Formats: sequence, C-alpha cells, structure tokens
Amino acid sequence: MDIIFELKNVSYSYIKSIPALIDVSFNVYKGEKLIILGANGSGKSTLLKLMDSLIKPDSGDVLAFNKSILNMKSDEEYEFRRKVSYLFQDSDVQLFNTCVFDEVAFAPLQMGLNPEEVKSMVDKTLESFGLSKLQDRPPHRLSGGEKKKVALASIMVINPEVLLLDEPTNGLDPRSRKWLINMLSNLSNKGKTLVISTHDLDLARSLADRIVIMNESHTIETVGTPDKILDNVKLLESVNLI
Amino acid sequence: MSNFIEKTVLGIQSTFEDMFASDEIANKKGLMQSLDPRVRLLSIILLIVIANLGNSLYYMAIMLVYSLILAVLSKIPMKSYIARISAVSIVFTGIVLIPSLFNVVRPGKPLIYITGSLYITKGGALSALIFIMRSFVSLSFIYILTLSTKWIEILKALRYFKLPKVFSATLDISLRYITLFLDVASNMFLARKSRSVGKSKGKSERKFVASSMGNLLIKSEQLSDDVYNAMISRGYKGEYKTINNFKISRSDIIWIIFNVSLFMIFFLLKGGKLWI
Repeated sequence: MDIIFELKNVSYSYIKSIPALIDVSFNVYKGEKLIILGANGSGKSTLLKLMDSLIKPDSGDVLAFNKSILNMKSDEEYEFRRKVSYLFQDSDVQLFNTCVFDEVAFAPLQMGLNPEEVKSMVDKTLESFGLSKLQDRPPHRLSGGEKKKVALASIMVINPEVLLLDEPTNGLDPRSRKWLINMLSNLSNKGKTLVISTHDLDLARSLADRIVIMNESHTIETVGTPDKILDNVKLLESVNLI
Repeated sequence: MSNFIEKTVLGIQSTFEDMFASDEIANKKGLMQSLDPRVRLLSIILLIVIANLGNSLYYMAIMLVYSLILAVLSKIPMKSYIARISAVSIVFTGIVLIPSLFNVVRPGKPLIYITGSLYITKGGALSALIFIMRSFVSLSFIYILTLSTKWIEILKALRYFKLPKVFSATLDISLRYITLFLDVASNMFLARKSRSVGKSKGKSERKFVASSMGNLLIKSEQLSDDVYNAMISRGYKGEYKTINNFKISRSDIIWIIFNVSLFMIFFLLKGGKLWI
C-alpha cells in the first residue's frame, strides 16, 4: 500500500515546559480513512497542523508523498498544498472572505489558476454542495451547518488527494452531521485519503478504516482497527473517551 | 460603567449589522443599484469633488436637489436619510461654524444684532449656509453609495482601482471579523449579566471591563494566527488574489452620458464662463 504520510518520532510543544505531542509515529496509507481519536487537549489538532505543515515539530520528521515537508521549496509547497487540504475545527477561522463565492474561489486563485477557469470550478463546486443560492452571502450570516458546507467546499474546489479534517462534526445539528458523514463517505469512495481528528465515537464507527488513539499524556496509546478499539471499554475509559 | 460600555458595544454591533450586513437596500431595483459598482464608486467620488467646487448658493441648491433626487431614485429610506445626514451636517458642522457668523471673526454687513457691537454678518451667514449645504450634499452622496452598494462590491471596486492589496485585504478581513468580535464582546457582557444579581460595585465593574478587553485582545491574537494558517493552508503566499464579475451595461453608459452633459451645461452656462 502506498504511504501518503509518515510521521517519525514527532514531538511538539507550544510552550517549552508543556508538551503538546511526544514521540508520535504512524503512517497514513493511500485511500484510507484514518481517525485520530482522543480527548480534548490530547494534541489531535496540533497533529493535523503538523501534517499540513502549518507548524514545524521540535524534533522528528513528517514525510508526505515520500518527501519531508519540514523545509519545502516554493514549488514543492505549491504541489503539497494542491494535494493536501485542511478543514479547520472552527469554520469562522476558515471563512475569512466577505462572500461565499470568494471563499470557494480563494484557494484556486492563490494557486495562480486562470480566473475564467476558477469561475467555472467554483460554480461547479457550489452546485455540487448545494450552495449556489448562497454564493453572494457573507459567511458570518450562515448557520453552523452551512458554514461547514462552505468550508468543505472551499477546500474541495481544488480536488485534493488528502483531506485533513479537524473535528468536522463538532456543533452540527443531526441533519448537517448526516450530510457531512455521507459526503465524507462519497469522497472516500472516490479514492480520497481522509485523516479525521475527533472524539466522536459514532463518527469513528461509521467511517474509520483504522484508528489512532491519543492519550492525555500526548502520546499514541494504540493504533488499530475499529472493531478492536471501539469495543474495548477499558481502553476507551483509560483515554477519557467514555 | 460596564452598563455604559455594554450599551455602547451593543449599539456599535447593531450599527455595524445595519451598515455591513443589511443588503436590503442594495438588493432593491433603484438607479444606483442598476450601475456597475466601479461606475457607482467613481461617480460618487466625482460628484463629491464637483459639489465642493461650488461657492454659490444657487449651485449648492441645485446639487442638494440632485442628491435628494438621486436618493429617491435609489430607493433610500428618506426619513432616516434626512435625519442622519441633517444631524451630522447641521448640528456638527453648524457648531463648528458658529464663530464665523459673527463680525468679530468675519467683519461684514450686519444681519442680526446680538448686542450693540456684536452682530451676525450677512457674509458669515451666507458662507455658513453654503458650507452646511456642501457638507449635506457630500455626506448624502456617501450615504447613498454605502446603502445602495454591498460592502463587498465597494471593496472589489476599490481593488479594481488599484488600491494596494494590503489595504484591501486588511479591509476585507476587518469587515469579516469585526462582527465576530462584537458578537464575542456582547456575549461576554451577557454571560456576566447572567451571573450577576443586584448592582455591582464600581471597582468590580472596572475590573470586569479591563479583563474583558484583555480577553478579547488575546482571542483576536489567537484568531489572527489561525486565520493566517487557514490562508497559508489554501495556498496564500502574501499576495491576496481575487476575482470580480464587473460588467459595464447600457444603464452605465446612459448614466455617464447624462451626468457628463448635465455638468457640462452647468459649467458652460452664462456665456461659457464657470458658473459656480
């Protein structure tokens, strides 16, 4: 199986005395749905930010597509950003443009695509997400579910190979949640690699191919298949997930 | 004290919501709304310049009538328009102009005597009136532009006219997040209210206001970091690229021809001499 991400003994701390991640190592394989499961503050979001090269580890290495992403050159970063997209936990962080159309157009425009091409890409994406009617609306006036849809559309517009999703179902109502899980399933069926951080056990059960469990000491507790992990009550209790 | 600040924050929040979020008037089918945002922006700037060239009462009266007709045709709610613009132009500008009415500041022919040696001059009253009218007309044009045009379109038009991208991006992002922060601030006051019984002491009120300001500052710093990361993650490299759908239509051309002809006639009246 092709390896997409390879994390080798990665450690990170925001403040030197308080570690956020300690000696984390695991692989992400092409086309899989990997769930990073952990309690609040266990370091899941930090891990995703490292994988998206938004922060650099204090030690260890992160490889994507067999190349280290710690010191990418400009053209390597361009390639990386086209292949890997990151959905932030808080949609308000991700939706910084003044209208939905601009939001979805942001990534392809920054990547230097032709404006005419961008327009048609955005129109298609908005239509496939059922967002065409909202294209002139400012993001802050949308509901939580709509914001999440726009945020997902804004990263899907460039058709990335890998999606890093930080607590995607947080704060969604049941209908939006169901829509999101179906959408993620469809994306996976199309061959996308999904890395999802969450503490939502139901989401893990409905989507995961493999699960990485983070504990409250900021290390990896275990890696395994959903049936081995999600039915292990003792394990889930020890990492504060039930 | 926090009651005063709470009211102020809520007031600012509703004003911003009104100004930035309400597209109700911008979505109406009016004269200004039918124009391309670039034409709208440029026209308003030029109209303000043209209005400020004038120094005669007749000319200012014509410009005033022009601005009122423009407001009516652009479906601007007239009651709040007149009230808001008059409040600023008559009250605020009027106060500044009070000294210039009197003979001690501007000698001239007496109009109304206050005391034996102090009187309002004809010249002073006339220039104050022209100045107030000029400020009314200029403010009217800005008011009509902001109500008839979505802020996003104004920003895009500014960008089209080569406003440096760093300014337009900053304006874009400020516009986007100011409402979020006002939300956070008003929620902080509500959260405090929900846990308070009776009247709080001044000292604790001040402490609360100071800590809310600190909290908001820290939150804004965290948010700006996250937003920057979200931009980087989607390929931002320091240059904020955007797209626009502007198109010059027949109504823009008619508007331009009409205004150019109108002001040409104004300027060329009276034997080709400037009539202002």
